[in-house]
Amino acid sequence: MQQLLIDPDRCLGCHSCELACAVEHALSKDLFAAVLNKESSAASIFVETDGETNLPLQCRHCQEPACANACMSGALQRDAETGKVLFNRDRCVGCWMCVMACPFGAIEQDRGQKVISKCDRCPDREVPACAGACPTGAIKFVEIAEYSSDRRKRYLTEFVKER
Amino acid sequence: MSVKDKTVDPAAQQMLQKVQADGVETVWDRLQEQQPQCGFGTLGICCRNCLQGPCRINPFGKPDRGVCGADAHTIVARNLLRNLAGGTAAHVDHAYDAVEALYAIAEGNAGYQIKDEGKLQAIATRLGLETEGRDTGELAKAVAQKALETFTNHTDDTMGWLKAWAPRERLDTWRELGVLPRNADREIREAMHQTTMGVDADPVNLLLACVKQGLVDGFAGLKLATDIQDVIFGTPKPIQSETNLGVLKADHVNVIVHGHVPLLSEKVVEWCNKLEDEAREAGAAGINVAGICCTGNEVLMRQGVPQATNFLGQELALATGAVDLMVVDVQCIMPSLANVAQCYHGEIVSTMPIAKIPGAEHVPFSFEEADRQAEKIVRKAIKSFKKRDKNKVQIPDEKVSIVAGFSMEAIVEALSKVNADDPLKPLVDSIKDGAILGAVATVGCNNAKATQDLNHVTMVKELIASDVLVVATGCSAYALGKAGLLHPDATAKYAGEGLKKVLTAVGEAAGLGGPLPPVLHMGSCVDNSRIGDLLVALADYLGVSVKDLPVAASAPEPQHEKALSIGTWAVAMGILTHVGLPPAVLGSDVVAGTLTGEKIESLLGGRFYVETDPKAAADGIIKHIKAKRRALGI
Amino acid sequence: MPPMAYVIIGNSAAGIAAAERIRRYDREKPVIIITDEQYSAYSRCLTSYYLAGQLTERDMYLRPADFYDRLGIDLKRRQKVVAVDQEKKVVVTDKGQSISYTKLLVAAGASPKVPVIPGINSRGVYQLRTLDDAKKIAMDAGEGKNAVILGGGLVSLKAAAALWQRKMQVTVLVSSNQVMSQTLDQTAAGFVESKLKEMGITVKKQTRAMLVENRNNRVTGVRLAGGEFFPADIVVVGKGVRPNTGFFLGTDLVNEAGAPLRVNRYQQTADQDIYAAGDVALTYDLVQEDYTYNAIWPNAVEQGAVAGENMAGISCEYAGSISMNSAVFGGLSVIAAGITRPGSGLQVLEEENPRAGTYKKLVFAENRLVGYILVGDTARAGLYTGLIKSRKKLTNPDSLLEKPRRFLHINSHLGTVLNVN
Ligand SMILES: Cc1cc2nc3c(=O)[nH]c(=O)nc-3n(C[C@H](O)[C@H](O)[C@H](O)COP(=O)(O)OP(=O)(O)OC[C@H]3O[C@@H](n4cnc5c(N)ncnc54)[C@H](O)[C@@H]3O)c2cc1C
Ligand code: SF4
Repeated sequence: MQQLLIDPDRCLGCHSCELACAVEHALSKDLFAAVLNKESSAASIFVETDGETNLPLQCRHCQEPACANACMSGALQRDAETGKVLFNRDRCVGCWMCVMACPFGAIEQDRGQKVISKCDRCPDREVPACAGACPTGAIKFVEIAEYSSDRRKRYLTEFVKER
Repeated sequence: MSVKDKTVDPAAQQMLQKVQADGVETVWDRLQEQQPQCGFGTLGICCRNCLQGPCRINPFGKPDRGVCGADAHTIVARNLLRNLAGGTAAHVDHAYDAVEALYAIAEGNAGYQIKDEGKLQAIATRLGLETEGRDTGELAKAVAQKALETFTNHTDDTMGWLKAWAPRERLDTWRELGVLPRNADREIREAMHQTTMGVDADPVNLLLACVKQGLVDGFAGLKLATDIQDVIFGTPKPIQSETNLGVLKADHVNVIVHGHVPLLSEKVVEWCNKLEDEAREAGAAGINVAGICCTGNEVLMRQGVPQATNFLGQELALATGAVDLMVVDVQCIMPSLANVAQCYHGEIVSTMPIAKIPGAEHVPFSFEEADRQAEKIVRKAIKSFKKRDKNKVQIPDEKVSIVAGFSMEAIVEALSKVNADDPLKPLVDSIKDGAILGAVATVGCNNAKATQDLNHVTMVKELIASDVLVVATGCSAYALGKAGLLHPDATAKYAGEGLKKVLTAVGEAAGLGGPLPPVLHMGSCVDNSRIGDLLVALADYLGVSVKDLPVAASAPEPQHEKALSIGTWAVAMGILTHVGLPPAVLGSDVVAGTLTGEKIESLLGGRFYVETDPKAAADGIIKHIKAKRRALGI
Repeated sequence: MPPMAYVIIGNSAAGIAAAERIRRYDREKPVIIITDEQYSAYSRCLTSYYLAGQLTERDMYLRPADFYDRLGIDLKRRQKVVAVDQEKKVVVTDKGQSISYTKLLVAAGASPKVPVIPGINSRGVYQLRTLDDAKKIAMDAGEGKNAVILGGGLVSLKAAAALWQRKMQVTVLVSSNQVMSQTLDQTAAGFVESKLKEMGITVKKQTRAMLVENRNNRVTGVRLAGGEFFPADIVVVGKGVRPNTGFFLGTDLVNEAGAPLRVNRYQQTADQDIYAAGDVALTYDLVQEDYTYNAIWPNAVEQGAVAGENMAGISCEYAGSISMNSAVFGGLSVIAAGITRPGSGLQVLEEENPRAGTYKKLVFAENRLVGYILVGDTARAGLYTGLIKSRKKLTNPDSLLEKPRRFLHINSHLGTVLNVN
């Protein structure tokens, strides 16, 4: 299964991923066209910082998705095959149960609309737009097995930092 | 990216295969590595002008302002003005070098002479200087003094060079808009001030400042540099030569002159001739000089020095393994040359105090010592030749015959062979009767984002087939030369019927025994001023403004800040100016819309026109020319 | 021994989650779901949207039509479980069927409490729990008519808003001195009340309904203890729910009518082959640090999944529940979770901004976030929920009053941030 991995140490906070995400989810999927035609769009990845480390964060497509568990309309469901937590806009009633549940704050209320917006892992692309746009490799789209267990441990230890 | 996507130049294509085999990195590899390029930068909505930043504007929502409160329009306009100040500074500095040289000559301190006294006289007269009873040195000093005042003075008066050469109607237009520049240094300085944190936030005011920069570039940069260089090195006349990497010679010492300022390269060419014997002693058949970029254009026009290649090919020239030394001055010199040179034997020699490259040898240039330095450099080349690794040498066969050197004076001279009393008449008549639909100047760079030369060649072929006369400078001239369009044979092959007739008539009258080429090589990028002079003369002749002429300008593959400032000058002159790649202004609809819109056209007569497809661009330009013709009633 | 079979009472949040989870690990053995309703699994939380006319019946279904076939689930509709024989491991239904189980999940949910008020059984008096309830109310509702809602809890207010959307004259009669007294504090409730007022819904607090008046057994209105009368064409009663555990009454599992089924961390009842999840279950509450009845949708789904996993033989612990709810009234979004009306010993940070229409309250126990209320701006509320669940001690609780930043969370969730789970 391919996953989006984040290496916060490499994130320089350039926000390129956010821009690429918004472009990918604009009607034209083209930066110039989207800007010239004033297409409305929003990113579903968010670059934030605690002052020391930057963290580009999008929906983690959790194995146990708190959002889908909380979704009372059936709009959010995890696809067992792809591992993606998929959103069906037509079913969303805008109750914000998932906003309440997602521990990453990865679900936003869509601008001016009574539905949510979240990362869809770019169904039209081989590599999600954010990973494709990251100039430093802070966001990578890789087969999960590629990450050795000690590499995972490194992330873990580097991450246990008191806020 | 396939080789075909990188370049249409067959020599470059061959060399790309070679660099790949040699494991040498080029501009295209680095472009690839830079992908994806930052969208904020691409749109011009990234500001680094203060330490509270960097700030970026989200084109899709928040944040919509920088820390200081600057919005997308302010930031885009400020960035553009800084770009223009950069381009303008480059040309003005270039001109300054030439003026300093003239001054040194007048003082008797330089290893140069004045080659075109007639032009010096003409300039002095136009500047309103007393010429009677002054010798050449005195006159040169007076002209140099006027030029220096154009760069710097302590009055609020309009820049002298502009006042002397700008048509009355343009002067009035610019005065009304409040964009008349005072002196070059002051305006460039002011642009830096205006764009620094917390000064100008009004995009419209900033755009007017952009127009001012364009005028500084056009008159204190382009025009002044061309004028003074003509005085020192001579006004170009049509001359035959060759272009593309095939001009390098396997059995010769190959020296390449690259950059923009002809001061040193003229001397290098001279010394290459003088030291032929030494080269032969070293086992070479002789010394061969070839040019890259505008330094190459300068020595081509005046000395017939062949052209190696244009901007994007500079690394590939080294990759032939046959370049023994490349001497560079300023502008458009890729820092990567030193790395590429390391993979072969060739040496890179930098010469200007503001342009040093790690890995290159620096031989400082001065007017007084120019000869000694040139001699030293050529000797280095001969030494380097001995280190050449024959196994690494591969010179493409590609070379194409060209005719270059069509200065304004040369064009008038050719035309006077048709009508000695009224030289412009035949040209104007052919425009009037429609044999020539109009004229387009293609100028400017290569840009790795566009297939090398493709936009230039595609567009120009379309234009000349539609009877549009094309004049070219800079890297555009190289591109067209490599494609065979600077040769008289191309007239029969590519020109429309009307254009063909006119070019043949003029060519034969001028004693060329055939037509003029369908594209006239008018020089380096500062020589865009020659195009300006020609248009002003035509407008004068017709009794209209430049903005009414059925003409357009185009930078089909712009890369440098200079291309933007030249383009802005062209727009200020009243000319529709096409760019084949969008500048970083799309993040503000106000700025982008203004630059390309009707408003600016109604104020200045010109506007920018962005079109990335060269055929569509040619169509757009032809449509514009036809509209202008209709407005003139022809 | 009868063949191994998983039997699930209840075809809703908890039941479906359990069945799906069982099927993740076991695609062979029979899975039987029993429901006393006629429908495929639907979301009862959406009944108010249906009532409002915002959704059609088709929109209510949680899963595609072929769901049961695809997963090989035997759905027994319209069968009410009346008894469970724990000895014989058999479930008995009102249709006389006996269904054997090896593992049984009770996910029978809850039913609305019916207050004892004279006239409460009149025609035109409804509860809102099932799709059938919603259909009945919808048939009776109509523009311009009067509706009285008894109760000020979440379901009541949702019903009130739905009928308001149907352009009815709506009055909500609340017994306490605020709406949503189980979920919100008075300040937050005040925001909701103003919103309802702005919408044109009347809210009467500290009221006691004495009598449901009727004519020909058809409701005409509600009379309060003070004598005040509110005419009504329909009355909707929403006074809380009680778990559907009747069929266990008298066994070791349920000793008192309406008591929930207490479960351990594996969602197991005292009978190790019987599991319970959702609105029937009593689970350990993370912040109350005690067994607490938290009848909400997300808990039902999570508990159902945990139960299913354990039933399939994979040991899986439930982390514990918390109460949480999200509601939107006329565009005003309110989210509350954990302890929102703290007693002594807890610390509170509050920030109210009436101009912006926002309110934020954070409740801490020894620097651990144990509850919050967000009104108006509820963006990224999940960060707080996650912090509550993480039980993490914070060095700088004050900083939480700022706009929630995603970075808050990487500490407690780093495993998942990097997708190494
Ligand atoms: C109008 C409304 C709005 C709500 N809004 C929210 C909300 O916004 N957020 C939130 O978290 N929660 C909300 N809830 C609560 C939520 O719906 C419940 O917590 C959730 O449905 C519990 O799921 P469950 O599977 O435990 O039980 P239920 O959904 O109650 O399902 C019980 C199942 O058991 C079956 N059953 C019951 N008894 C028997 C029997 N004896 N024999 C056979 N089958 C039986 C039923 O047919 C049903 O299939 C709302 C509820 C209502 C009514
Ligand atoms: S000048 Fe303004 S927009 Fe630019 S970096 Fe500074 S604060 Fe940001």
